[in-house]
Amino acid sequence: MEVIEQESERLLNWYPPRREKENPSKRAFEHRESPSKWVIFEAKRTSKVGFFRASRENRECCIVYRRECDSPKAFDVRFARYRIKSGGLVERRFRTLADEWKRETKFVSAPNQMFLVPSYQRIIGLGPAAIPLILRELQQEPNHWFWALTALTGDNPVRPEDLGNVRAMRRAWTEWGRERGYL
Amino acid sequence: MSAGICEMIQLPELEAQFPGLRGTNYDVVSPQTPNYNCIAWAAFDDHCWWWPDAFGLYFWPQGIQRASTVDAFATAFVGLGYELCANADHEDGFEKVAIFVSADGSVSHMARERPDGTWTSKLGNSYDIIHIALTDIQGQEYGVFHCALRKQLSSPAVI
Repeated sequence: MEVIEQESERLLNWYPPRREKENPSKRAFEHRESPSKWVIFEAKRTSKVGFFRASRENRECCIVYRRECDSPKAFDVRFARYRIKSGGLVERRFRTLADEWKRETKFVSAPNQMFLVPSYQRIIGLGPAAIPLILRELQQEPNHWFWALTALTGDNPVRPEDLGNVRAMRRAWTEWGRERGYL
Repeated sequence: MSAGICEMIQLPELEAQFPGLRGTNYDVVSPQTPNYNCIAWAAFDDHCWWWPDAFGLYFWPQGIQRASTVDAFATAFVGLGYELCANADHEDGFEKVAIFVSADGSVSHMARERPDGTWTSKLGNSYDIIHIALTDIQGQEYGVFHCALRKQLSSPAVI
């Protein structure tokens, strides 16, 4: 994952530099040089410092700032730092959902109960971006990702004689992923 | 219970999910693994995940209906030499398997009787455990015991 960290001057391009009214409820802000809006999904502040976390497409940025203005409804950025993670948002969502799914279905045997839960369905809902994440997860740790992979790829490389053989199913999918450049 | 061969066993999590195990002399006898499930374990298979799933992803004996009904599971085990029996009480000379069902009547779990009358269950992707009674694992996760099948143990050789 590409992580970019920069400080001070360049950030001032990202944020209205002088005494703009702070309005997190607006839920979005714009890069001065870009028409695309970054949607804020988390914002916290104290009297002196605060941060916004926002996303756009498959990118996430975090802006940390320090207030240097006494007015509670205005701020003046003198110091700030932002961080952009490419591809971080889908990966983070996948990680959260995968952990939730494992926790929820740890003791379940029935595939319909394993797969037809919101966390697993949301992973499928992440779309093709989830394919390499699932394959890497499967490569690291065996688990029942087979239905998600079949749903996302429309493929099933598992031989009929290997149905239920989780080791062989895992092997078939990781080889499939390597052949197609996902791994 | 004793930790058996497993390290880092999360007993609070296990007992939270299966409150009936609390205070009983159960034992964890395997590491956690997604490689096989309770149905396979009941059939003495620790290499495969058995289920008659509609997705067609998992092993199920050929010719048996792919449905999560008691009938489909009972038929599969009849194919392995079992027969339906009146209850899950221990009977000398027989080994039993028990079928559990959820509130909607679909099969949720199977357990296998051990020679000493205790039971062994594979808990989904988690551990194999030995438990004293079938009621120990009844509850929200596996529903209730529904019926049992039995199979005659082969007689010891007479010298």
